[in-house]
Amino acid sequence: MAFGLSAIFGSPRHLQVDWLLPLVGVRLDLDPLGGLFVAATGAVSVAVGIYSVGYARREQWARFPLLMLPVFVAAMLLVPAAGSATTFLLAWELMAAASLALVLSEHRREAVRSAGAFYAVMTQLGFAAILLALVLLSSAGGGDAFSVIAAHTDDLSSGTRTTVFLLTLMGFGSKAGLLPLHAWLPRAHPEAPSPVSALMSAAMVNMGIYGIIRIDLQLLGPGPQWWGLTLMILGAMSAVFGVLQASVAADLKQLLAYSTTENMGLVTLGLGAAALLSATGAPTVAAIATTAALLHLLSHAAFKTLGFLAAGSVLAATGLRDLDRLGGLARRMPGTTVMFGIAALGASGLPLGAGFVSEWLLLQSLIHSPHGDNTLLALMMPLSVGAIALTTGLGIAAMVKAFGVGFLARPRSAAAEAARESPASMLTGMALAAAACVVFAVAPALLGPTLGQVLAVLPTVGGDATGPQFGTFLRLPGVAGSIAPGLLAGALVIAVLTALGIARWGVRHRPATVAAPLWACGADALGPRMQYTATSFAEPLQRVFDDVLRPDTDVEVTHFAESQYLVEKVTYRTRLTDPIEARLYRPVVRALTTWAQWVRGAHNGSVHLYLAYGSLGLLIVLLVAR
Amino acid sequence: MSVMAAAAAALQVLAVLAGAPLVVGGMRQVRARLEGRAGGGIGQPWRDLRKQLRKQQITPRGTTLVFALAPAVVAGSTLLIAAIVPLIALGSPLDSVADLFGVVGLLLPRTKAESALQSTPQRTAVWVGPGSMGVRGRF
Repeated sequence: MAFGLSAIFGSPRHLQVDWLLPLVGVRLDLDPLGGLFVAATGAVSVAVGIYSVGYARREQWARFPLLMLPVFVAAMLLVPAAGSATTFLLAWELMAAASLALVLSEHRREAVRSAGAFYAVMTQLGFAAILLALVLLSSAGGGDAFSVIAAHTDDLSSGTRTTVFLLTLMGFGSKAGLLPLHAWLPRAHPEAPSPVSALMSAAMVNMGIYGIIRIDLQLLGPGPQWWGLTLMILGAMSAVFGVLQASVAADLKQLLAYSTTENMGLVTLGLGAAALLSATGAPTVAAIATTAALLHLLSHAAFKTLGFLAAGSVLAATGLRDLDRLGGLARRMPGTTVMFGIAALGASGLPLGAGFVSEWLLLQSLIHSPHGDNTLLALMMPLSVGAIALTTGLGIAAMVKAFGVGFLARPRSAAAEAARESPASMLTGMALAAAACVVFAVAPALLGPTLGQVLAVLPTVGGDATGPQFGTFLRLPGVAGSIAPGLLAGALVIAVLTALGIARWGVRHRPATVAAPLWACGADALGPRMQYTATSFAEPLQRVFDDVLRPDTDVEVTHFAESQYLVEKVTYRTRLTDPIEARLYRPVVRALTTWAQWVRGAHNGSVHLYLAYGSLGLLIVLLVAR
Repeated sequence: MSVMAAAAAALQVLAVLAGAPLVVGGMRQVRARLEGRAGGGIGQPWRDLRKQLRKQQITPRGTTLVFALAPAVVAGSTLLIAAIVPLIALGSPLDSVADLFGVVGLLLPRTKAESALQSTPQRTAVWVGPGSMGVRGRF
């Protein structure tokens, strides 16, 4: 983290290590943009590291994941620091391999193995796309170092640029969990150990965004208008789809994973808007959109770390991720409940939550974009505002569900009833992340200089445009709008205290307050089965978005043999599957399996045949390379 | 920011605080007249409030701080919005603290607080309790 901060404020650093890789050597180049990501990753890993001390002891981790965790963090710190395509790819693959090993650390369970296979395939496909794109880029750009490529980008043909853009968008989009390559997120994140989920969701997906900024917007950019448009559409679709799945998910960690897709969608939407705006000549508003995207990325890292760590505490204490069987944790685990509350407030994008300021900035930039007579802008901006509004509304529903059903009310299972509060080290790790959330919510001014330095190196902004002015009041240049998150928080506290004071009016004339059992409408007592569950809470939403979610519902009524007017039992079963996965992934997997069966015919186990293959291949190579 | 602006903002908050029950009373009075009843008068909600505030408070067992604090948060955010939104004076001292999005954002915690309450048994009792099925049907 210290390295990242020094990179943002100090001079750019170079480091050349020639002995590590043959032919090219490793080249590290930290600039303010990379420094921002290094700092964010560092901050997340400090919180996760402290948390893991208690978590590993409580869950009795083996030695292997404890060993892999620092490797994973180091790889993630190397990715934004890489100064050449080769170093970047090396660090990227190291990050992917380390995270895969960590996902598989509980490999004895079948679900973990399946999630691991899914993750491995998707991440390697993404890597192949990035590899191809970077090979194209460095061969056309005349060098391997990013600085050399940047100097030669004007010579690139538009065909190369488009190919590289599409390939990198695929590769980085799959890492960032954008639609339609998001399918590994809701599988791998719930099955990985919670500190690993936190690292993956708060730090690793950021690397996808970093790749998009570095390669597409900085090295290749400024691109044509449709690049920004593509990013915006992808972002808006990911945001709405992610939050919709999150609001119907009943698995706590799956809900958080879908929420990651949502937030990365919002960040991509901001970046796309910035690219589109700077392509149409509105650098001031583009600067606001970029700031919004970067700030949202950072605040997402803070509240998602906290969310996954709190979910990990719940999992360690109860062994449950299923919201329908949790509940009543507020009494058993008050510390964790407060932490998850802060994370949920941040994720829902409400005032006093970590995500509010960045979403406010994003909305301001979209609404105040000058469109003149550009039909595209005049159409895209209001549509994006609508998408963000829908995302925020559904996000609130999802987070209220996670917090209200999971932590309030009464325990729905014996395991939830016997929950124990986490040890001090886990709480300390969570408290660090919570402190970061509060800073993002109340005093984003502290981040002002950092973001200003990063904005200065981004080409989408242009040299002369200034970003938003952070202070007690957050003011935007050229736009009539301001908020003061700190003052707002203070005023709200005063207002709530005033309301409490008014409610005490005439307290001397009242009899003393008593505690009484809950009013049960005259029935005997309330049981845990009478409460809302996560599924029933989301049922109206599921009904409204029936066409998108396509739930698989079965109602089975069994009658008594004597009379069909008497019902013996009613079975209700509902299952939610990811519609994109069913439509897009299954045909591909089926086709691949068919091909694989076909190729299998060539492998009949005969050594002679394999030798013939080898010599044939060699002959072809010799002929081609002649 | 001047004394006048601060006074105007305070006046605005007081007007909302005092006037909100009167608006409810007025609506009920109009409805009563339309239905051919005499009605309780515009001041009836205020009289009801005075009566409620003299009654004993009951803390239900098994609820948490959220249950106790949610009504205060709802009331407090309403007061804050009353201070921000230009109702009487344009230049409220809190004017630049939040804009339209801020106000909408402040309105949203109310839904959050209400929904969170819904998942506690107290609220659930109203919905699923045997005596209340008719109530649900009417909604």
